[in-house]
Amino acid sequence: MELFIPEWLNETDPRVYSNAKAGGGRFLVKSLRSLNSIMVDDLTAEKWARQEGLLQALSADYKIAGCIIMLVALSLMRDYRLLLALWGVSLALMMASRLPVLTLQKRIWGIIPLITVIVTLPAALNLVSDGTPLLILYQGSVNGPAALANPIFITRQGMQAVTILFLRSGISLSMVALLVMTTKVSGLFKSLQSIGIPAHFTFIVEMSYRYLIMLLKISIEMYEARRMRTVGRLTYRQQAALLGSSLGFLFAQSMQLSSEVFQAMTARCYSIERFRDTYAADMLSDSFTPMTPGQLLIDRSK
Amino acid sequence: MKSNVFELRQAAYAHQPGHNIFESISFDIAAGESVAVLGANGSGKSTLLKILCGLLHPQAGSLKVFGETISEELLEDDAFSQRFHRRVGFIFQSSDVQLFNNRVEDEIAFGPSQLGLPEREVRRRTADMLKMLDIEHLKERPPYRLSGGEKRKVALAAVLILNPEALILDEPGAGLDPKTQRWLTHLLLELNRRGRTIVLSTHNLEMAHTVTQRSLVLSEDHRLVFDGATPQVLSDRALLSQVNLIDEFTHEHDEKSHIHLYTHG
Ligand SMILES: Nc1ncnc2c1ncn2[C@@H]1O[C@H](COP(=O)(O)OP(=O)(O)O)[C@@H](O)[C@H]1O
Ligand SMILES: [Mg+2]
Repeated sequence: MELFIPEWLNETDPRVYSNAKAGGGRFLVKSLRSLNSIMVDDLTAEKWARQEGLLQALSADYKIAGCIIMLVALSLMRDYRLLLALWGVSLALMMASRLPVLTLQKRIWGIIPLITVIVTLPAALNLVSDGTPLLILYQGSVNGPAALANPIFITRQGMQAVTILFLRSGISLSMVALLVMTTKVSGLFKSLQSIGIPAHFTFIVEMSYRYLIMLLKISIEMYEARRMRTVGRLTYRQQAALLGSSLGFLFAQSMQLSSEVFQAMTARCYSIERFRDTYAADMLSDSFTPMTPGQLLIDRSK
Repeated sequence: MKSNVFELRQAAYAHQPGHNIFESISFDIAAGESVAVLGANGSGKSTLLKILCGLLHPQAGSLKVFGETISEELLEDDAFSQRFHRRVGFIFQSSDVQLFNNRVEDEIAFGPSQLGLPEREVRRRTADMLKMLDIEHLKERPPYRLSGGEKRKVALAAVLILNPEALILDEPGAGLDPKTQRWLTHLLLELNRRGRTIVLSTHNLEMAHTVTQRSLVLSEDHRLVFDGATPQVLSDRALLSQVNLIDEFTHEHDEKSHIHLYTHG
C-alpha cells in the first residue's frame, strides 16, 4: 500500500515549542467546567430535588401554580419595596428548602439581570426619556456644535425603571430556580400535563431538555478536544472568537443532530398521534429512566 | 533501557461520586510500545484512555507521563499544558467533538498555529497532512459536513500535525470501511515503526492483532484482567468470551493464523 509520510514525521521532535507563560490560568476552561458541574451534575442528578426540605415536600402542581402566580404578580409590581419583600420571601424559601443560597444568589443575579441592566441602561438617559437629573454625565457646551449643546444625564425616573426591571428579572429567576431545583423532572412534566398541557407538548419539552443536556455534554467534550490542541495561550479576544465559532458549529451540529434524532424516531415508527395516545403517559412516569445524553452519543457514534 | 511514557499506579476513578468504575488499575507503557486496550462496550476503554491523556483525573492513585506526575492543577498551567498536549495526542471516539473549525484546512492548521510555529511551516505541514491522509480535495469543506470516515481522517491529521510522541486513539477503526481500516492500520504501523508510542482501544481483534504487540483487557466490571502479549490474548478463547469480546458463534477460518472473529459491537 502506497503511503506518503512527510519527512518531519520521521522523527520525534524534541524541541519545546512554547508561547505560553507558566502559571497562566484558563478562564474559559474553568467556567465551562463549572457550568458542566452545575448543569450536568446538579441538574441531571436532581441532587437538590432529592433532599428533604420545605418545597421538595410540596406537590409539583402547587409549586407550578405558585410560580405562575408569582411571575404574574412580579410583572405587575412597580413598587420596589414590594419587590424587595418578594426577594426576601424567595430567600426564605431557598433556606427552608436547604438550597445553597449564596451560590444561587451569585448565579441568579450575576447573569440575566446584569444583561437586562446593560441593555436597558440607555433608556435611563435623558436622551431617551426626559426627567429630573440624577447623575450628570456631560455638562453640555454653548460654543460647540448644536448636537452637543445639551447636557446628558441619567434621569431619576429612568433609573427607577431600570432598577425595577433588574429586581423583577432577578426575582423571577429566583422563583423559577425554586421550582426547578426542588422538583424532580418527571414530576414537573407530569404536573404540566395535569394542569391541561397536552402530553405531546410536554414530551417535546422534555425531549428538548434532555437534548439540551446532551448538547452541553458535546460542547464540553468539544472544549476538551480543543484544549488538547489549544496548546498556546489565547488572548481574551481569541477565546471569545473561538467560543463564537464553536457556538456556530454547535448550532450547525445540533441542526444535523436533531434531524438525525428525528429520523431515528421515525425509523422506529414514531408518529405524534400514536405516541401521545399510547406511550407518552408511560414515558413520563417515575419508572421511566430517561436515556442519558452519553448513551445517545454512544449510540450515535456507532 | 527504554523510558516509560505512561505510569499508572493504583488508579481509581468514578464518573459519579460513590460509583467507582476503576478500583485500582496499574500498568506502565514504555516509549515505542504499541498497546491495545480491549474490552466490550461499557468496559471503560474510553475512560481509561481519557485518564492517560489527562482529560480525566483519577481520584486515587497517580499517573506519570514522561516521568512527570500529572495533576489537574498542573494541567491548568498553560506552559505545562502546552508541552503535554503536544507530546500526547488524542483521537476521540467521536470525531464530531474534535472538529470545530469552518474549513478542513483551518482545522488541521489549528494546533501548530496555536503553538506559534511560523506561518510558512504551518502551511507546509498542513499540505503534507492533506496529502498523507489523502484529503486534499476536502480542504475547503466544512468538517461537520463530511462523512464519518472523512471526519476521522481530518481528526487524525489535526492531531498528527503536532507530531506527538504518544498517540492515543479511541476506537479508531469503528465506522470505517474495510479499505480505510487497512489504510489506517498501515499508517499506525508506520508511525509506530518511527518510534511513536501507540495506545488504541478497540473491540476489533483484527486491528489489535495487526497493530499492537501488547494488550490490556478490561472485563465488563471494569477490571484489568489481562496484561500481556497480543497474540497470547487472541488465542485465549476462554478469556475473550469471559470479557464478552467473542461469543459462541465465533469461528476461525481454516487458514491458520488468519484472524477473523465475530466480535460484539
Ligand atoms: N460522563 C459519564 N458519566 C457517568 N458515567 C459514565 C460517563 N462516561 C462513561 N460512563 C460509564 O462508564 C462506563 C465505561 O464507559 P466507557 O469508558 O465509555 O466504556 P467503553 O469506551 O469501553 O465503551 C460505562 O458504564 C458508562 O456508562
Ligand atoms: Mg468508548
